[in-house]
Amino acid sequence: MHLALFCIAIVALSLGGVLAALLYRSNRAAHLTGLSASLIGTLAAVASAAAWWRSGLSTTWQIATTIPLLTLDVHFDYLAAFFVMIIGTIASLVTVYSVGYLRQYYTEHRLAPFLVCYNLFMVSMLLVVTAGNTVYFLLAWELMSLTSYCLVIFEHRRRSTVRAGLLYFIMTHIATACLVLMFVLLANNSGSLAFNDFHTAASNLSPLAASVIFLLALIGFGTKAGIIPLHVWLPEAHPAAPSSISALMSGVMIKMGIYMLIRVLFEFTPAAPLWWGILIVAIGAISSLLGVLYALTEHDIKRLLAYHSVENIGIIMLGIGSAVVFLAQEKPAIAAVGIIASLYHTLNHAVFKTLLFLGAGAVVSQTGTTNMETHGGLIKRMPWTAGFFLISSLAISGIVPFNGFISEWLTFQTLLQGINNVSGIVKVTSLGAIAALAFTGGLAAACFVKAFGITFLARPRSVESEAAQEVSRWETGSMAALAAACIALSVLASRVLAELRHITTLHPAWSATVPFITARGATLALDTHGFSPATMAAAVLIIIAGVAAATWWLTRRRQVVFGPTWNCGTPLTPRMEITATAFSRALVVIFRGILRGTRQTSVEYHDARLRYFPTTTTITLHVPNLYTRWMYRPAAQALFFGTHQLRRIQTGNVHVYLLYIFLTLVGLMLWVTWSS
Amino acid sequence: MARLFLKVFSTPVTVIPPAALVAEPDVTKIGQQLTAKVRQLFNGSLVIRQVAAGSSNAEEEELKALSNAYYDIERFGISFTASPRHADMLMVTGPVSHNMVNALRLTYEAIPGPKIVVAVGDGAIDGGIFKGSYAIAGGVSAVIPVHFSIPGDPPTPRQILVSLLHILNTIAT
Amino acid sequence: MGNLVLVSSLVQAALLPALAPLVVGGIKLLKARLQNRRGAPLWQPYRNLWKLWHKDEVISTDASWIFTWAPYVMFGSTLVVAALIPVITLSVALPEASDVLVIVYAVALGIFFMALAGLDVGSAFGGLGASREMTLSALNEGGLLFAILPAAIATGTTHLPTIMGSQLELTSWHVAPWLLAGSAFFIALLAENARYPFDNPATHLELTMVHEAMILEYSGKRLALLEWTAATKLLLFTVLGVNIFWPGSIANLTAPLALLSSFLVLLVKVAVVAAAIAAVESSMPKLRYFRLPDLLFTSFLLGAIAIIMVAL
Repeated sequence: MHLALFCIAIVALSLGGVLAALLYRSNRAAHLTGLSASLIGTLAAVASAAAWWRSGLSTTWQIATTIPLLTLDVHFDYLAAFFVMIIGTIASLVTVYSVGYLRQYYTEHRLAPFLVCYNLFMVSMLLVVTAGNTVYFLLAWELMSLTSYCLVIFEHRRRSTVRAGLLYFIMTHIATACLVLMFVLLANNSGSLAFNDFHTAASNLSPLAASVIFLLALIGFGTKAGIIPLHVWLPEAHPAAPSSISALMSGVMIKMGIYMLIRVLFEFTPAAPLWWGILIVAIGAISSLLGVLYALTEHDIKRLLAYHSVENIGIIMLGIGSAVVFLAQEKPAIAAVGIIASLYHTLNHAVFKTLLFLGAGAVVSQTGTTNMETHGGLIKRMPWTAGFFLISSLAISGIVPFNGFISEWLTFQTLLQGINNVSGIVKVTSLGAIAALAFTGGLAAACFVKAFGITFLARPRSVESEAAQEVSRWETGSMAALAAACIALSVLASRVLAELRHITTLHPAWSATVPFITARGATLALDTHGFSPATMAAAVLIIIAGVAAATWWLTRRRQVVFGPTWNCGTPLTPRMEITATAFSRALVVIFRGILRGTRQTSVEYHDARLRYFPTTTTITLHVPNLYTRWMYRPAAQALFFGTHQLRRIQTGNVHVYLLYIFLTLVGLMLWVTWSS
Repeated sequence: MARLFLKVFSTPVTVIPPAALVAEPDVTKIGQQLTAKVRQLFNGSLVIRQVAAGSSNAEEEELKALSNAYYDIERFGISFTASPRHADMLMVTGPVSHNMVNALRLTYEAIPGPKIVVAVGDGAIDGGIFKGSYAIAGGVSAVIPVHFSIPGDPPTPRQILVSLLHILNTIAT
Repeated sequence: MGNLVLVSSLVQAALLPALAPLVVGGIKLLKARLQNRRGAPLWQPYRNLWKLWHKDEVISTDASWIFTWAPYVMFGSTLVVAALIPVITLSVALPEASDVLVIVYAVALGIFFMALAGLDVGSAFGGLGASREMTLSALNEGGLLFAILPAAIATGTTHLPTIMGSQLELTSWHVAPWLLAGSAFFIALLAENARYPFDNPATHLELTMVHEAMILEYSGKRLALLEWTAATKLLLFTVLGVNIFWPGSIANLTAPLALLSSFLVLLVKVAVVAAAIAAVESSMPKLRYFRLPDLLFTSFLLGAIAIIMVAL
């Protein structure tokens, strides 16, 4: 049943791509066919995952092909089905959004290539999470990278977009190179290319090989996920892409890295030593804290959101890392909480980050710019978008009673158990991670007050923002569904947790019946009798409504007068409002040790000699990209230097090339003789 | 810190007792009478926003003295605020210069009702020594409705305090 | 028993806001006395609230529903927290939600809306206040959590009734970490409630305001709600701190006499903390804004040292 549905999904999506390509002459026709096909496909994918979830038996469906090494293994287990569900749900909602959103491109762009890539992008993600064979997986992974690259450079007439796309292209291929190497090592050990065999042969892995595999996986999948310092492509590619694509990339695609990291860590190399976990926790802590700090420095709303993806990937890594730590110490119960926390956060982040990017997309489509300094006052012009953006802002800031809080709470609980751990290094790492998480929560709230407040509140700061209008029903409808999901994932937390427990069957040390008891015997209250976010949410809502109703009733005779904002007796203009840069300036100054921000003040005077009456004062806060400067640029220079040196062997002389061939042959012959 | 508190506790009380204020003369009423209800509401809790509409700063100095340890206006529940939104009483000092007309009107409108307007000092009542000047719009009543006025150039803090207490019926007349 | 717990939580949620203005009035009175003034009577905040409640409102034409709803959200979320924390009994209506993190992030809901309301009307003061408030609260989050965490680690849970219940025995909870975490919490309390040296609750100068700058635009009933929220929050944090760091006023719900006596003991303790706040405010200047992060990091580090002492 689920396989049939899965095939329908793949076929519908691919067919949609083909049809869109055939209808390339008419943007409208391509748009509608492409999107209807992707809607059918994504919904079928959700249905297939849901159908599989009921049966719950790991299945691998093999199709042999005539191409050597390639077999199509469609592998379904709880982890795969979970991610198929995320991809399907989020992608179907983004598709609904795109019905309205893509109309703005009718006049200037051809939509058919976009839609082909869009549908293939979804196919590739579905294949990535269900692939059970190395070559098949790598093909799907590469397809995902290529289609997403094409989608990023959709607005290719802008030079910055192409540059951003190129960076993404390079980064993703460095990652793929690491992955190929990792798979070679794994296949070398198991003697087979099937993922199932990696799993069974895992006990044969030497510690050194396992560690190399782990590091390669961390670099390869970490680049896709966007951990610091491999995150550099995220803040470039996300603002360059159309917002629906940023939403898909940030909400879903970067999670593919998390998916494979979980698979490698808990299935391919289940005997993970302690230091892997500590390394992951450390990376998670650094990514979450630095991610949110960089987000604070941004006034480009999409770059800001991209940095928040880095932050949230960091939080997810904290959960994964502590799971590895506790498994290494043979405490599977707490480890299970850690992995569940990270999976829950993956799900939550997929929902609210997609919603944030869709909201930002709606704003950008109306105002024509991602620069928050020109937004403002949009809550009156786009009330629905504002409301949904607010819900997702609250959710991502981990505020009670929204869904982000639940997963951060779980992560926190896991780390807390780390402090009570026997190992000193685990204690210290957990303490650092908790500190990072605590500050991340507060800074994220500050950042989203800025993002929401500057974009939607006060008065419009530009003519375009003044003229903005609410987006179409397609867009608001899709955002409404995501906002509802934000609330549902909080209210139905105990239900979600019960389902997520199934995924912990992944590792041999876990079984579905692991009781969630902490070291000191206090329940973590993961079961249905415990902490009930539903009651909490209801209590908050009822009390707020009660306060409002009581106030209204008791003061119904008082008058409410509307007047201008108090501005010390002078008329108010939008230029007096605080700007996005000014809002976070204090934090940038406080964290100057990390951010290394610079400030440039330029003043123009009426009379340059007098220097008393300035006509304009411009303050530019700049936060340099330390990673490019200290890591990527030296690396690139070293690479160029090396290749320049290599050029010396290219003389252009045929005799020399013949000599090379001869020398190679001799070398090979010697090698064959010695090795046999 | 110990020395600070030692000094605090060894200094004798300087606050003027309310009984000593009863003998002072009443305030001048102009404009409409306040209802008993409003007086009762503000008796014991009054927040003042002060606007200097072109004064010589003499009245401000006297108003500032109200908060010190001699007059201690806070013991009657009267305090000053920065925002007219929080205020119940608008105290205007000085003749209203043309540049301040708009600001004064905006401040008046920014105060939620019920509100009391008090003109403090001769300048605020009719222009005082600036009467007839081309630079002023006249007394405060030329711009916004005024309920009470406290004469003097400037009135002493004691006069202002007693007048306020009379306005609020804190002291029985 | 279930009904009794619910009733006690509701009583708690009503009692804390009802008593809160008294604490603010007490601090003000004490400060006035320390300045050699008579000061406003103890019940002055009640009179102010009563008056504001009976006044009209002026709302900015630039304001959106965020501005009009923020006071309700703030007051409502504070009431929820008031119902959640153990005050004089460990039995609360939603026992599992009585969690350190739930409390901290439920308070954050109020702060979030307050800051948005500050931005909403578009005045320069409101925006500045929102920026400052979010900066301080972001930096304070670490200190606040790290002040409570030593106790949480000593008991192995973030569940407040368990923490407070086991504090009675003072088992794995020694003097040094207790002192450090207690000071950390006191600093966090001052920062969270916009008291000296972080903010001057009585300032008239817009440029130095933090909390006041955001509520400059409010009037009438909404202002009353916000001031009431601020007072309740101060009492809430005081009670939370007292019950963690100065235990001994927790009674069983089924013993009415013990409840009464522990309520009286709690009142005395709160009065002592209020006196301490008044003493701090009378002997210390407001710190320069960019000096505040140092103080907040101090609170965070004190908490971290206490955690290390407890965890080792």
